[in-house]
Amino acid sequence: MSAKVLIVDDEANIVISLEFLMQQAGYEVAVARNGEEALEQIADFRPDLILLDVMLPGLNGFDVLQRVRQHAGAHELPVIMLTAKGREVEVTKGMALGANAYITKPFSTRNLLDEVRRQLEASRQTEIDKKHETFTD
Amino acid sequence: MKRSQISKLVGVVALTALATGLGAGWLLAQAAQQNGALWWLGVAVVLAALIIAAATVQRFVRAFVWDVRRLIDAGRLMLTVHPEHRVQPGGPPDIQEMAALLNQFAERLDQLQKERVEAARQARADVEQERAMLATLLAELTEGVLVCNLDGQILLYNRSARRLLDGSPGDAAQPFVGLGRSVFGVIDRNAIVHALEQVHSLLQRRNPDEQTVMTSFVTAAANGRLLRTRLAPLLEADGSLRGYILTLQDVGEGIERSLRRDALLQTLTERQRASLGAIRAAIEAMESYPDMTPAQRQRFQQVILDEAQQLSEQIDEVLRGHASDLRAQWMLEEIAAPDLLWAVQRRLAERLGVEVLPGAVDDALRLKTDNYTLMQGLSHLAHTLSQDFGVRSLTLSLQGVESFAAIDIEWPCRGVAMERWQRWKEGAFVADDRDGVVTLREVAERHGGEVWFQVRPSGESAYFRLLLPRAADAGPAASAPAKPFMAPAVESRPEYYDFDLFHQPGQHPELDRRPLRSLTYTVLDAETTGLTPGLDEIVSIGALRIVNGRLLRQEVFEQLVDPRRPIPATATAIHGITDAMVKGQPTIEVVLPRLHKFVEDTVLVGHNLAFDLRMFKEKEAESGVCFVNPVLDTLLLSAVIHPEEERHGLEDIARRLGVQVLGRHTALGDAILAGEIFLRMIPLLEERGIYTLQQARTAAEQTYFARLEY
Repeated sequence: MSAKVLIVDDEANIVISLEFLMQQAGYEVAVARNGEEALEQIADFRPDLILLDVMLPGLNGFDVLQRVRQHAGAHELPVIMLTAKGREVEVTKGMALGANAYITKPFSTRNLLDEVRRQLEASRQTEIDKKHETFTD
Repeated sequence: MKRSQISKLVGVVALTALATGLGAGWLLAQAAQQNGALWWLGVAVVLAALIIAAATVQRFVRAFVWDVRRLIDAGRLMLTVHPEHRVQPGGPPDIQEMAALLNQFAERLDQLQKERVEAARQARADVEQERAMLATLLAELTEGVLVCNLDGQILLYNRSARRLLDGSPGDAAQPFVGLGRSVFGVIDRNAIVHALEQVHSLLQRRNPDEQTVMTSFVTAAANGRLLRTRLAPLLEADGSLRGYILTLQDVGEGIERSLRRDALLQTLTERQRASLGAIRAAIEAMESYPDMTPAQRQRFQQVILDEAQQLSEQIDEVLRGHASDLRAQWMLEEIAAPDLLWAVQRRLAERLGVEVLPGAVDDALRLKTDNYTLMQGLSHLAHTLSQDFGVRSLTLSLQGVESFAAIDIEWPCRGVAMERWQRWKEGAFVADDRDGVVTLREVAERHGGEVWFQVRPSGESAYFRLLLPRAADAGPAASAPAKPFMAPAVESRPEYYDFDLFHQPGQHPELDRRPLRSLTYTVLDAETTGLTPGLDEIVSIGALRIVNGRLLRQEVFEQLVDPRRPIPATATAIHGITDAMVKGQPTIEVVLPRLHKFVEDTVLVGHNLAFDLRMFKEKEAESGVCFVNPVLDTLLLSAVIHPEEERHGLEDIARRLGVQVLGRHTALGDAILAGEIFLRMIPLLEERGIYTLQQARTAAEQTYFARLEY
């Protein structure tokens, strides 16, 4: 079964490319245009990874990230922050709030895809480890 | 001999003469019974005795009573009101001698007094001259200056301080600067206290060689302006702290500008990042999947086009709207074109022996330049010209070209080949960094301007044109003071200070025990639509302050008030205020809170002030302010001073006290008159043993009740 990626961004032009690239890479894709929609999609679509823009109308990316991390079922969900805010202080904030990676626009799509793949593998590995631990217990 | 002894002596002599006369008369009367002729002789003897007795009495009274009395009266006159008066010679020799002596004393005293008055006048003139110099100096400073005593009372301020610290005119609770007012009303108390503590500890640790001790802090003034404030102590001769000087600079403007620039750069970056992100992703998607469908390819191309267009628009918008925020503003100062020309002429003549001739100079043009850099650039140019081509004379033109100031530096260049100019021009623009030379190109860059070189088509002369920013035509709009709510009545004297306030103990509740001379007063007067409180309304209020015995005509409150009812012609006839004049003026509930702030911590003085206060009281509910200041009424004080007079009208009192009556029946004019009268009343009250506020109020109260009984 292919991994599921949720794209959260309000800028239609970047969503077009992201959606296309993720689909071509073989992922199942859903799109949310704002923070509230993102939270709904997390519950319904149950993504394996989120590409999360910081600047969103209403609930912003940092808010969404915090909710995700507090949510019992999704607190280990890999989140890659995408942002046009390039200041170091914001990167630090994102990482402190529990983002797995922080990518600044404009970015190389190849790097982005690599990062997505890496995060999904890492996440899968953690789950295997957990199962293994459970098994050995 | 005492007067009682004299009168006894006179009495004895007169009685002896009388007794002798009567005795002789009686003996003759006895004899007359026999001889009728002797009866007549007896009468004659008695009469003679009476005449001798009367003459003796008269002579003694004249010599020892009247003449002495005359001396005493003349002496008193000379000592008090009429120093030029002299005793008229006359009377017995002793009295004459005494009179001459008294006259000599008077002469000597008169002379001494004249010398003393002249010395005092001279000293005062010197002080006044120094004051005037200090005043002019302070007025020219762009920094605000405040001098305060340890109680925080303002003893001096300049115009800039007032501009920086005064609140906006529309705000009822506006802070404002005034002599004798507390500095803590305009600048945060804690900031000043903290700075004073710092200064105190610096003073204790001070190296004796160090002359100045100073500390600085940035604080928000009560009006919200951000100020860089420096505090320097004022020390007594024994080194103890006497007060302090605050200098103020508005840093808000600079900070605001850099904040705007920061925010601008931030949004610009973010928006560009977003657009570039979309473009790059689209292009890479097309590259990675060359076999995508035409429809898909079309979609990506549209994305790229959209975002590229947005990028261009963003850039245009920034350059259009925020150019002034992006331009470097540091160290640029305004200078008038003629001043700049003069400075260049002097510098080039002194340093390089190059003459600068004025070309077309627009006198009204003001430039915004870093004068030091500009001067260096021009010096460098003149230096290379004189070295390479022997040019000893330049023409400098200064003119406005659109929103720039064009500086043209022109010189005759006949006979020099074009190629040589080209080569030289490069050198003139690009100087070797290592020798610290500033070229015109650097000048242009630093000012956000441009520079180019041209040879006139005639080939007669060549010139550099330097375009620099010009100062805003409307003048420095940001720093131009808004029309102050409390307009200075006298524009000419820019400075307001009173160093005698150093000895003023500060505004405390125990005002009552303080001498009248040391108090701060507000003299006020209101003009109305009529004389019935509750029915009539206030149309104008004037007030000004008395600080340390001086009527401060620069710190006035003058405001027309819209009474929201027609002004009767009878009232207009008195004060000249018409319906048209009050139209659009603030109403009383707006004006009274401002007045309340103006009179804060002062004693109110006015003529028949009870009426004005009654009018204010009628408006207490609407205005929300209650005037609880202590009050001295010139009407009642006049009755204290001259109880025998029947008339205590403002003009009657003015005439009695020798105050010139000018500008009556405007609120401010009447307030000024009442103020001048009050100042003259203080010494007269003192003569009656009335020195303190408490005593003055008690005396006024007593007269008030005394008058009520009539």
